[in-house]
Amino acid sequence: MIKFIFTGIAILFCGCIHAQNIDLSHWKITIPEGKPSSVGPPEILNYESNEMLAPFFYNDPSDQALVFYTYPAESTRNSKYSRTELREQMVPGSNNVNWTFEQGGVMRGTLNVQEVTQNNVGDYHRVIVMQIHGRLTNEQRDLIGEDDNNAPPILKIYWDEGRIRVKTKILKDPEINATDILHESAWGDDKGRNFKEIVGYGKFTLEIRVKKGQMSVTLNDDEQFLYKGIDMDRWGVFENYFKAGNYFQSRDEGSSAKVKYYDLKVYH
Amino acid sequence: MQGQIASRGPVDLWNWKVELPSGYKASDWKLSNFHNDRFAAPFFYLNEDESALVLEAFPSEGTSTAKYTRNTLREQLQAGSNDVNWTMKEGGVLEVEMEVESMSKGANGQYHRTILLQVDGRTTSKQTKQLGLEKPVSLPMLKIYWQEGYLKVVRKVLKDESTAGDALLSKNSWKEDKNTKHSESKVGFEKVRVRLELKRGKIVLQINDERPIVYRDLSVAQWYFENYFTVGNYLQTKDIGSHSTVNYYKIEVKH
Repeated sequence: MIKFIFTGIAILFCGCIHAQNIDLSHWKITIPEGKPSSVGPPEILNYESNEMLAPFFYNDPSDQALVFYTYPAESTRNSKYSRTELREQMVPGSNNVNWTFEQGGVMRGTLNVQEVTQNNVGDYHRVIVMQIHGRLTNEQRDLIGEDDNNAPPILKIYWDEGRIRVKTKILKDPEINATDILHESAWGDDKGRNFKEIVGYGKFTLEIRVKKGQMSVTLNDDEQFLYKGIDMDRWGVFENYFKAGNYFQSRDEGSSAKVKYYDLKVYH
Repeated sequence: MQGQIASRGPVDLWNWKVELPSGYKASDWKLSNFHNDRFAAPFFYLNEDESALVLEAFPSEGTSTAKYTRNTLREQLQAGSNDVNWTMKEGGVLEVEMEVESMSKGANGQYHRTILLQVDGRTTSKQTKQLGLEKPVSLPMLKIYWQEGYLKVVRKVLKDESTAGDALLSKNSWKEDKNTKHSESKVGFEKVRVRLELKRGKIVLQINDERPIVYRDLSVAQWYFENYFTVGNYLQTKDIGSHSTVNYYKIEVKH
Protein backbone atom coordinates (compact mmCIF):
# COMPACT_ATOMS: atom_id res chain seq x y z
CA MET A 1 0.00 0.00 0.00
CA ILE A 2 2.73 2.43 1.02
CA LYS A 3 4.75 1.46 -2.02
CA PHE A 4 1.69 2.12 -4.19
CA ILE A 5 1.26 5.59 -2.70
CA PHE A 6 4.90 6.42 -3.27
CA THR A 7 4.73 5.25 -6.84
CA GLY A 8 1.62 7.35 -7.29
CA ILE A 9 3.33 10.42 -5.90
CA ALA A 10 6.38 9.80 -8.06
CA ILE A 11 4.21 9.54 -11.20
CA LEU A 12 2.28 12.62 -10.23
CA PHE A 13 5.48 14.49 -9.52
CA CYS A 14 7.05 13.51 -12.82
CA GLY A 15 3.83 14.36 -14.60
CA CYS A 16 4.00 17.86 -13.17
CA ILE A 17 7.52 18.70 -14.10
CA HIS A 18 8.24 16.81 -17.30
CA ALA A 19 7.35 18.40 -20.59
CA GLN A 20 4.35 16.26 -21.51
CA ASN A 21 4.99 15.03 -25.00
CA ILE A 22 8.71 14.80 -25.25
CA ASP A 23 10.60 11.61 -24.56
CA LEU A 24 14.25 12.55 -24.15
CA SER A 25 15.63 9.02 -24.00
CA HIS A 26 17.07 9.31 -27.53
CA TRP A 27 18.40 12.85 -27.33
CA LYS A 28 21.49 14.61 -26.14
CA ILE A 29 21.33 18.30 -25.20
CA THR A 30 24.12 20.81 -25.82
CA ILE A 31 24.14 24.14 -23.95
CA PRO A 32 26.30 27.20 -24.69
CA GLU A 33 28.30 27.09 -21.48
CA GLY A 34 30.99 24.81 -20.10
CA LYS A 35 33.09 24.46 -23.24
CA PRO A 36 30.15 23.88 -24.22
CA SER A 37 28.59 21.04 -22.27
CA SER A 38 26.41 18.19 -23.39
CA VAL A 39 24.16 15.89 -21.42
CA GLY A 40 22.84 12.70 -22.96
CA PRO A 41 20.79 9.74 -21.85
CA PRO A 42 20.25 8.67 -19.18
CA GLU A 43 21.29 11.90 -17.31
CA ILE A 44 19.19 14.08 -19.59
CA LEU A 45 16.03 12.44 -18.25
CA ASN A 46 16.65 14.29 -14.98
CA TYR A 47 17.22 17.63 -16.68
CA GLU A 48 14.89 19.44 -14.32
CA SER A 49 17.19 18.73 -11.38
CA ASN A 50 20.38 19.51 -13.30
CA GLU A 51 21.65 22.91 -12.19
CA MET A 52 24.00 23.29 -15.12
CA LEU A 53 21.16 22.82 -17.62
CA ALA A 54 18.58 24.83 -15.69
CA PRO A 55 19.24 28.28 -17.21
CA PHE A 56 19.03 26.92 -20.76
CA PHE A 57 16.79 23.88 -20.82
CA TYR A 58 13.76 23.75 -18.55
CA ASN A 59 10.01 23.34 -18.34
CA ASP A 60 7.53 26.14 -18.47
CA PRO A 61 5.01 25.02 -15.82
CA SER A 62 2.31 27.22 -17.33
CA ASP A 63 2.00 25.22 -20.55
CA GLN A 64 4.26 22.16 -20.04
CA ALA A 65 6.54 23.33 -22.82
CA LEU A 66 10.21 22.48 -22.96
CA VAL A 67 12.10 25.78 -23.14
CA PHE A 68 15.37 26.21 -25.06
CA TYR A 69 17.09 29.44 -24.11
CA THR A 70 20.42 30.53 -25.51
CA TYR A 71 22.71 33.51 -25.98
CA PRO A 72 26.14 33.92 -27.54
CA ALA A 73 28.57 32.20 -25.23
CA GLU A 74 30.67 29.24 -26.19
CA SER A 75 30.23 27.39 -29.44
CA THR A 76 30.90 23.87 -30.57
CA ARG A 77 33.82 22.87 -32.71
CA ASN A 78 32.40 23.44 -36.19
CA SER A 79 30.41 26.58 -35.45
CA LYS A 80 30.79 30.20 -34.46
CA TYR A 81 27.28 30.36 -32.99
CA SER A 82 25.90 29.13 -29.69
CA ARG A 83 23.12 26.68 -29.17
CA THR A 84 20.77 24.97 -26.79
CA GLU A 85 19.93 22.12 -29.07
CA LEU A 86 19.02 18.45 -28.98
CA ARG A 87 20.92 15.90 -31.03
CA GLU A 88 19.26 12.64 -31.87
CA GLN A 89 20.88 9.46 -30.56
CA MET A 90 19.36 6.33 -32.13
CA VAL A 91 21.27 4.31 -29.56
CA PRO A 92 21.11 6.27 -26.31
CA GLY A 93 24.55 7.54 -25.36
CA SER A 94 26.16 6.94 -28.74
CA ASN A 95 26.91 9.37 -31.57
CA ASN A 96 28.07 6.53 -33.76
CA VAL A 97 24.75 5.02 -34.78
CA ASN A 98 22.89 7.18 -37.26
CA TRP A 99 20.64 6.74 -40.28
CA THR A 100 20.89 7.05 -44.03
CA PHE A 101 18.24 8.37 -46.42
CA GLU A 102 17.60 4.80 -47.48
CA GLN A 103 16.70 3.92 -43.86
CA GLY A 104 14.68 7.11 -43.68
CA GLY A 105 13.21 9.03 -40.80
CA VAL A 106 10.47 11.34 -39.65
CA MET A 107 10.72 14.19 -37.17
CA ARG A 108 7.63 16.06 -36.11
CA GLY A 109 7.57 18.91 -33.63
CA THR A 110 5.21 21.59 -32.38
CA LEU A 111 6.92 24.72 -31.19
CA ASN A 112 6.99 28.47 -31.08
CA VAL A 113 9.63 31.11 -30.89
CA GLN A 114 8.88 32.96 -27.70
CA GLU A 115 11.34 35.85 -27.70
CA VAL A 116 14.17 36.99 -29.95
CA THR A 117 16.29 40.12 -29.73
CA GLN A 118 16.86 42.58 -32.61
CA ASN A 119 20.11 43.92 -34.03
CA ASN A 120 21.11 47.58 -34.20
CA VAL A 121 18.77 48.43 -37.08
CA GLY A 122 15.87 46.35 -35.78
CA ASP A 123 16.27 43.07 -37.69
CA TYR A 124 15.33 40.11 -35.54
CA HIS A 125 18.16 37.69 -34.93
CA ARG A 126 17.64 34.37 -36.68
CA VAL A 127 17.22 30.99 -35.04
CA ILE A 128 17.61 27.50 -36.48
CA VAL A 129 14.87 25.38 -34.91
CA MET A 130 15.39 22.05 -36.70
CA GLN A 131 18.16 20.40 -38.70
CA ILE A 132 19.24 17.22 -40.36
CA HIS A 133 22.96 16.96 -39.94
CA GLY A 134 25.22 14.75 -42.00
CA ARG A 135 27.97 12.67 -40.47
CA LEU A 136 30.99 10.87 -41.83
CA THR A 137 31.45 7.28 -40.76
CA ASN A 138 34.88 6.54 -39.34
CA GLU A 139 35.83 4.90 -42.65
CA GLN A 140 34.74 7.93 -44.66
CA ARG A 141 36.56 10.24 -42.25
CA ASP A 142 39.79 8.28 -42.63
CA LEU A 143 39.38 8.00 -46.39
CA ILE A 144 39.41 11.79 -46.83
CA GLY A 145 41.89 12.41 -44.02
CA GLU A 146 39.58 14.46 -41.79
CA ASP A 147 40.16 14.63 -38.06
CA ASP A 148 36.49 14.54 -37.11
CA ASN A 149 33.21 13.06 -38.34
CA ASN A 150 31.58 16.35 -39.27
CA ALA A 151 29.60 16.55 -42.51
CA PRO A 152 27.34 19.43 -43.62
CA PRO A 153 23.70 19.79 -42.59
CA ILE A 154 21.43 18.75 -45.47
CA LEU A 155 18.55 20.66 -43.90
CA LYS A 156 18.32 23.80 -41.83
CA ILE A 157 14.98 25.28 -40.81
CA TYR A 158 15.14 28.89 -39.70
CA TRP A 159 12.78 31.21 -37.91
CA ASP A 160 13.45 34.40 -39.83
CA GLU A 161 11.49 37.50 -38.79
CA GLY A 162 8.40 35.43 -38.16
CA ARG A 163 8.74 33.35 -41.32
CA ILE A 164 9.86 29.76 -41.66
CA ARG A 165 12.77 29.50 -44.03
CA VAL A 166 14.12 26.21 -45.32
CA LYS A 167 17.62 25.74 -46.66
CA THR A 168 19.24 22.65 -48.10
CA LYS A 169 22.51 21.75 -49.80
CA ILE A 170 23.28 21.27 -53.47
CA LEU A 171 26.28 19.73 -55.14
CA LYS A 172 28.57 22.26 -56.77
CA ASP A 173 29.42 19.57 -59.33
CA PRO A 174 26.74 16.88 -59.74
CA GLU A 175 29.33 14.62 -61.43
CA ILE A 176 31.74 14.71 -58.51
CA ASN A 177 33.35 11.36 -57.67
CA ALA A 178 32.42 9.14 -54.73
CA THR A 179 35.33 10.25 -52.55
CA ASP A 180 35.36 13.98 -53.18
CA ILE A 181 31.64 14.15 -52.45
CA LEU A 182 32.48 13.48 -48.80
CA HIS A 183 34.23 16.85 -48.46
CA GLU A 184 32.25 19.72 -47.02
CA SER A 185 33.50 21.88 -49.89
CA ALA A 186 31.62 19.71 -52.43
CA TRP A 187 28.32 21.11 -51.17
CA GLY A 188 26.90 24.62 -51.53
CA ASP A 189 23.80 26.31 -50.16
CA ASP A 190 20.59 26.43 -52.13
CA LYS A 191 18.75 29.76 -52.39
CA GLY A 192 16.35 28.86 -49.59
CA ARG A 193 12.57 29.01 -49.56
CA ASN A 194 10.06 30.64 -47.24
CA PHE A 195 6.70 29.16 -46.46
CA LYS A 196 3.83 31.48 -47.40
CA GLU A 197 2.27 31.10 -44.01
CA ILE A 198 3.87 33.44 -41.50
CA VAL A 199 4.05 32.13 -37.94
CA GLY A 200 5.42 35.08 -35.98
CA TYR A 201 5.64 34.17 -32.30
CA GLY A 202 2.72 31.74 -32.71
CA LYS A 203 2.78 27.96 -32.34
CA PHE A 204 3.44 25.85 -35.44
CA THR A 205 4.07 22.25 -36.41
CA LEU A 206 6.91 21.13 -38.66
CA GLU A 207 7.21 17.67 -40.09
CA ILE A 208 10.32 16.44 -41.86
CA ARG A 209 10.09 13.17 -43.78
CA VAL A 210 13.06 11.49 -45.37
CA LYS A 211 13.24 8.43 -47.54
CA LYS A 212 15.56 7.18 -50.28
CA GLY A 213 16.29 10.06 -52.62
CA GLN A 214 13.88 12.54 -51.10
CA MET A 215 13.17 14.88 -48.24
CA SER A 216 10.06 16.89 -47.47
CA VAL A 217 9.27 19.64 -45.00
CA THR A 218 5.65 20.42 -44.15
CA LEU A 219 4.36 23.39 -42.16
CA ASN A 220 1.15 22.97 -40.16
CA ASP A 221 0.16 19.87 -42.15
CA ASP A 222 -0.50 22.13 -45.12
CA GLU A 223 2.19 23.73 -47.25
CA GLN A 224 4.99 21.36 -48.23
CA PHE A 225 8.44 21.69 -49.78
CA LEU A 226 9.64 18.53 -51.48
CA TYR A 227 13.28 18.00 -52.38
CA LYS A 228 14.38 15.28 -54.79
CA GLY A 229 16.81 14.79 -57.63
CA ILE A 230 20.55 14.37 -57.93
CA ASP A 231 21.45 16.19 -54.69
CA MET A 232 19.11 14.06 -52.58
CA ASP A 233 20.14 10.89 -54.42
CA ARG A 234 23.80 11.46 -53.81
CA TRP A 235 23.30 12.59 -50.21
CA GLY A 236 22.52 8.92 -49.68
CA VAL A 237 26.24 8.39 -49.07
CA PHE A 238 26.05 10.09 -45.66
CA GLU A 239 24.70 9.09 -42.30
CA ASN A 240 22.44 11.62 -40.62
CA TYR A 241 20.87 12.65 -37.35
CA PHE A 242 18.07 15.02 -36.43
CA LYS A 243 18.55 18.15 -34.35
CA ALA A 244 15.88 20.28 -32.69
CA GLY A 245 15.95 23.32 -30.46
CA ASN A 246 17.57 26.72 -30.58
CA TYR A 247 20.71 27.21 -32.63
CA PHE A 248 21.04 30.97 -32.33
CA GLN A 249 22.47 32.84 -35.32
CA SER A 250 23.91 35.87 -33.58
CA ARG A 251 27.04 36.85 -31.74
CA ASP A 252 25.75 40.35 -30.89
CA GLU A 253 26.32 41.37 -27.31
CA GLY A 254 23.12 41.18 -25.28
CA SER A 255 21.29 39.07 -27.86
CA SER A 256 19.30 35.97 -26.93
CA ALA A 257 16.43 33.78 -28.02
CA LYS A 258 13.90 31.50 -26.42
CA VAL A 259 12.22 28.61 -28.26
CA LYS A 260 9.49 26.44 -26.76
CA TYR A 261 8.72 22.89 -27.86
CA TYR A 262 5.35 21.38 -27.00
CA ASP A 263 5.83 18.13 -28.82
CA LEU A 264 8.73 16.38 -30.49
CA LYS A 265 8.80 12.91 -31.96
CA VAL A 266 11.12 10.93 -34.19
CA TYR A 267 10.34 7.70 -36.06
CA HIS A 268 12.50 5.41 -38.14
CA MET B 1 -3.27 31.72 -40.07
CA GLN B 2 -1.92 31.04 -36.61
CA GLY B 3 0.76 33.67 -36.75
CA GLN B 4 -1.43 36.39 -38.23
CA ILE B 5 -2.12 39.11 -35.75
CA ALA B 6 -4.14 42.27 -35.99
CA SER B 7 -2.16 45.46 -35.85
CA ARG B 8 -3.06 47.80 -33.06
CA GLY B 9 -4.73 50.99 -34.27
CA PRO B 10 -6.89 51.83 -37.26
CA VAL B 11 -4.82 50.23 -40.02
CA ASP B 12 -4.34 46.53 -40.69
CA LEU B 13 -0.66 46.34 -41.66
CA TRP B 14 -0.44 42.62 -42.51
CA ASN B 15 -0.23 43.27 -46.26
CA TRP B 16 2.19 46.18 -46.12
CA LYS B 17 5.92 46.61 -45.89
CA VAL B 18 7.92 49.54 -44.60
CA GLU B 19 11.57 50.37 -45.16
CA LEU B 20 12.97 53.28 -43.19
CA PRO B 21 16.10 55.34 -43.83
CA SER B 22 17.61 53.84 -40.69
CA GLY B 23 17.74 50.51 -42.53
CA TYR B 24 14.78 49.19 -40.58
CA LYS B 25 12.56 46.87 -42.60
CA ALA B 26 9.30 45.30 -41.56
CA SER B 27 6.33 43.59 -43.11
CA ASP B 28 3.44 41.29 -42.12
CA TRP B 29 3.98 39.94 -38.58
CA LYS B 30 6.88 42.20 -37.69
CA LEU B 31 5.16 45.34 -38.96
CA SER B 32 1.92 44.39 -37.25
CA ASN B 33 3.89 44.44 -33.96
CA PHE B 34 5.17 47.97 -34.57
CA HIS B 35 3.69 49.27 -31.33
CA ASN B 36 6.10 47.01 -29.39
CA ASP B 37 9.08 47.73 -31.60
CA ARG B 38 11.43 50.46 -30.43
CA PHE B 39 13.07 50.55 -33.86
CA ALA B 40 9.79 51.59 -35.47
CA ALA B 41 8.80 54.11 -32.82
CA PRO B 42 10.67 57.23 -33.97
CA PHE B 43 8.93 57.11 -37.34
CA PHE B 44 5.89 55.05 -36.84
CA TYR B 45 3.49 55.12 -33.91
CA LEU B 46 -0.12 55.54 -32.82
CA ASN B 47 -1.56 58.87 -31.69
CA GLU B 48 -2.81 59.21 -28.15
CA ASP B 49 -6.31 57.81 -28.62
CA GLU B 50 -4.98 55.24 -31.15
CA SER B 51 -7.27 56.56 -33.87
CA ALA B 52 -4.39 57.37 -36.22
CA LEU B 53 -1.16 55.84 -37.41
CA VAL B 54 1.37 58.67 -37.27
CA LEU B 55 4.15 58.76 -39.83
CA GLU B 56 7.09 61.06 -39.16
CA ALA B 57 9.63 62.06 -41.76
CA PHE B 58 12.84 64.02 -41.36
CA PRO B 59 16.14 63.79 -43.17
CA SER B 60 18.24 61.18 -41.44
CA GLU B 61 21.32 59.17 -42.06
CA GLY B 62 20.70 55.63 -43.07
CA THR B 63 21.24 52.84 -45.47
CA SER B 64 18.49 53.80 -47.89
CA THR B 65 19.46 54.66 -51.44
CA ALA B 66 16.39 56.88 -51.84
CA LYS B 67 17.16 60.54 -52.40
CA TYR B 68 14.84 61.72 -49.66
CA THR B 69 13.68 60.44 -46.33
CA ARG B 70 11.21 57.76 -47.18
CA ASN B 71 8.65 56.67 -44.68
CA THR B 72 6.30 54.78 -46.90
CA LEU B 73 4.17 51.67 -46.69
CA ARG B 74 4.34 49.42 -49.73
CA GLU B 75 1.41 47.18 -50.52
CA GLN B 76 2.14 43.44 -50.52
CA LEU B 77 -0.70 41.41 -51.99
CA GLN B 78 1.04 38.32 -50.67
CA ALA B 79 2.31 39.10 -47.19
CA GLY B 80 6.08 39.31 -47.13
CA SER B 81 6.58 39.23 -50.91
CA ASN B 82 7.28 42.02 -53.40
CA ASP B 83 6.73 39.68 -56.30
CA VAL B 84 2.96 39.43 -56.29
CA ASN B 85 1.30 42.58 -57.62
CA TRP B 86 -1.75 43.55 -59.65
CA THR B 87 -2.27 44.65 -63.22
CA MET B 88 -4.62 47.32 -64.56
CA LYS B 89 -6.79 44.51 -65.84
CA GLU B 90 -7.15 43.17 -62.29
CA GLY B 91 -7.54 46.65 -60.89
CA GLY B 92 -7.43 48.05 -57.39
CA VAL B 93 -9.08 50.50 -55.05
CA LEU B 94 -7.32 52.46 -52.33
CA GLU B 95 -9.32 54.34 -49.72
CA VAL B 96 -7.50 56.61 -47.34
CA GLU B 97 -8.39 59.11 -44.68
CA MET B 98 -5.44 61.25 -43.69
CA GLU B 99 -4.28 64.56 -42.40
CA VAL B 100 -1.00 66.38 -42.75
CA GLU B 101 -0.46 67.45 -39.17
CA SER B 102 2.65 69.52 -39.58
CA MET B 103 5.01 70.60 -42.34
CA SER B 104 8.20 72.62 -42.09
CA LYS B 105 9.00 75.54 -44.42
CA GLY B 106 12.02 76.16 -46.58
CA ALA B 107 14.21 79.27 -46.64
CA ASN B 108 11.94 80.78 -49.28
CA GLY B 109 9.00 80.68 -46.84
CA GLN B 110 7.19 77.96 -48.74
CA TYR B 111 6.11 74.72 -47.15
CA HIS B 112 8.15 71.65 -47.95
CA ARG B 113 6.18 69.04 -49.81
CA THR B 114 5.61 65.37 -49.30
CA ILE B 115 4.28 62.49 -51.40
CA LEU B 116 1.33 60.87 -49.63
CA LEU B 117 0.10 58.25 -52.08
CA GLN B 118 1.52 56.54 -55.13
CA VAL B 119 0.71 53.87 -57.62
CA ASP B 120 4.01 52.26 -58.47
CA GLY B 121 4.61 50.12 -61.50
CA ARG B 122 7.15 47.43 -62.28
CA THR B 123 7.63 44.80 -64.92
CA THR B 124 6.17 41.40 -64.06
CA SER B 125 8.68 38.57 -63.65
CA LYS B 126 7.63 37.33 -67.08
CA GLN B 127 8.20 40.73 -68.67
CA THR B 128 11.54 41.12 -66.88
CA LYS B 129 12.67 37.78 -68.30
CA GLN B 130 11.34 38.62 -71.75
CA LEU B 131 13.35 41.86 -71.73
CA GLY B 132 16.46 39.93 -70.69
CA LEU B 133 16.85 41.94 -67.48
CA GLU B 134 18.03 40.81 -64.06
CA LYS B 135 15.85 43.17 -62.06
CA PRO B 136 12.39 44.53 -62.85
CA VAL B 137 12.03 47.95 -64.43
CA SER B 138 10.17 50.12 -61.96
CA LEU B 139 8.58 53.54 -62.23
CA PRO B 140 5.73 55.34 -60.51
CA MET B 141 2.51 55.62 -62.48
CA LEU B 142 0.87 58.25 -60.32
CA LYS B 143 1.90 60.37 -57.37
CA ILE B 144 -0.20 62.46 -55.03
CA TYR B 145 1.69 65.25 -53.31
CA TRP B 146 0.71 67.55 -50.51
CA GLN B 147 1.98 70.86 -51.84
CA GLU B 148 1.19 74.25 -50.32
CA GLY B 149 -1.89 72.73 -48.75
CA TYR B 150 -3.31 71.27 -51.97
CA LEU B 151 -3.24 67.69 -53.15
CA LYS B 152 -1.37 67.65 -56.45
CA VAL B 153 -1.53 64.75 -58.85
CA VAL B 154 1.35 63.92 -61.17
CA ARG B 155 1.25 60.95 -63.47
CA LYS B 156 3.25 59.31 -66.23
CA VAL B 157 2.34 59.64 -69.88
CA LEU B 158 3.90 58.22 -73.02
CA LYS B 159 6.41 60.53 -74.65
CA ASP B 160 5.22 59.25 -77.99
CA GLU B 161 1.73 57.83 -78.31
CA SER B 162 2.76 55.54 -81.16
CA THR B 163 5.10 53.55 -78.88
CA ALA B 164 4.35 49.85 -79.07
CA GLY B 165 5.62 46.42 -77.99
CA ASP B 166 8.53 46.03 -75.56
CA ALA B 167 9.27 49.76 -75.76
CA LEU B 168 6.15 50.34 -73.64
CA LEU B 169 8.05 48.63 -70.81
CA SER B 170 11.04 50.97 -71.05
CA LYS B 171 11.39 53.79 -68.54
CA ASN B 172 12.55 56.05 -71.36
CA SER B 173 9.21 55.85 -73.13
CA TRP B 174 7.48 57.63 -70.26
CA LYS B 175 7.60 61.17 -68.89
CA GLU B 176 5.78 63.14 -66.26
CA ASP B 177 2.58 64.70 -67.52
CA LYS B 178 3.00 68.48 -67.55
CA ASN B 179 -0.72 68.81 -67.13
CA THR B 180 -0.77 68.25 -63.35
CA LYS B 181 -4.07 68.34 -61.46
CA HIS B 182 -4.97 69.68 -58.05
CA SER B 183 -7.65 69.27 -55.45
CA GLU B 184 -10.29 71.98 -55.97
CA SER B 185 -9.93 73.25 -52.46
CA LYS B 186 -7.04 73.60 -50.12
CA VAL B 187 -6.94 70.67 -47.72
CA GLY B 188 -4.25 72.29 -45.59
CA PHE B 189 -3.93 70.54 -42.25
CA GLU B 190 -7.47 69.17 -42.25
CA LYS B 191 -8.57 65.57 -42.55
CA VAL B 192 -9.08 64.52 -46.16
CA ARG B 193 -10.70 61.46 -47.74
CA VAL B 194 -9.21 60.04 -50.90
CA ARG B 195 -10.49 57.19 -53.02
CA LEU B 196 -8.33 56.03 -55.89
CA GLU B 197 -9.71 53.44 -58.28
CA LEU B 198 -7.80 51.88 -61.15
CA LYS B 199 -9.44 49.52 -63.58
CA ARG B 200 -9.03 48.61 -67.24
CA GLY B 201 -7.64 51.75 -68.78
CA LYS B 202 -9.20 54.12 -66.30
CA ILE B 203 -8.09 55.98 -63.18
CA VAL B 204 -10.63 57.77 -60.99
CA LEU B 205 -9.47 59.91 -58.10
CA GLN B 206 -12.05 61.16 -55.65
CA ILE B 207 -10.95 63.76 -53.09
CA ASN B 208 -13.58 64.43 -50.39
CA ASP B 209 -16.82 65.27 -52.25
CA GLU B 210 -15.13 67.12 -55.07
CA ARG B 211 -15.67 66.41 -58.75
CA PRO B 212 -13.56 63.30 -59.49
CA ILE B 213 -10.32 63.58 -61.43
CA VAL B 214 -10.45 61.01 -64.24
CA TYR B 215 -7.71 59.77 -66.54
CA ARG B 216 -8.81 57.68 -69.46
CA ASP B 217 -6.50 57.88 -72.42
CA LEU B 218 -3.90 55.95 -74.37
CA SER B 219 -1.24 56.33 -71.64
CA VAL B 220 -3.49 54.59 -69.13
CA ALA B 221 -4.60 51.97 -71.65
CA GLN B 222 -1.00 51.15 -72.59
CA TRP B 223 0.21 50.66 -69.02
CA TYR B 224 1.17 46.98 -68.98
CA PHE B 225 3.27 47.06 -65.83
CA GLU B 226 2.05 45.41 -62.65
CA ASN B 227 1.28 47.79 -59.81
CA TYR B 228 1.22 48.27 -56.08
CA PHE B 229 0.03 51.10 -53.88
CA THR B 230 2.31 53.02 -51.57
CA VAL B 231 1.03 55.17 -48.74
CA GLY B 232 3.03 57.35 -46.42
CA ASN B 233 5.03 60.48 -45.90
CA TYR B 234 7.83 60.82 -48.41
CA LEU B 235 9.29 64.21 -47.55
CA GLN B 236 10.76 65.86 -50.62
CA THR B 237 13.64 67.77 -49.09
CA LYS B 238 16.99 67.28 -47.45
CA ASP B 239 16.95 70.69 -45.71
CA ILE B 240 18.38 70.55 -42.20
CA GLY B 241 15.58 70.76 -39.65
CA SER B 242 12.84 69.91 -42.14
CA HIS B 243 10.13 67.70 -40.81
CA SER B 244 6.64 66.49 -41.61
CA THR B 245 4.00 64.53 -39.75
CA VAL B 246 1.09 62.77 -41.42
CA ASN B 247 -1.76 60.99 -39.63
CA TYR B 248 -3.55 58.10 -41.28
CA TYR B 249 -7.01 57.31 -39.93
CA LYS B 250 -7.85 54.78 -42.59
CA ILE B 251 -5.93 52.82 -45.22
CA GLU B 252 -7.91 50.17 -47.06
CA VAL B 253 -7.20 48.30 -50.25
CA LYS B 254 -9.60 46.23 -52.35
CA HIS B 255 -8.91 44.09 -55.39
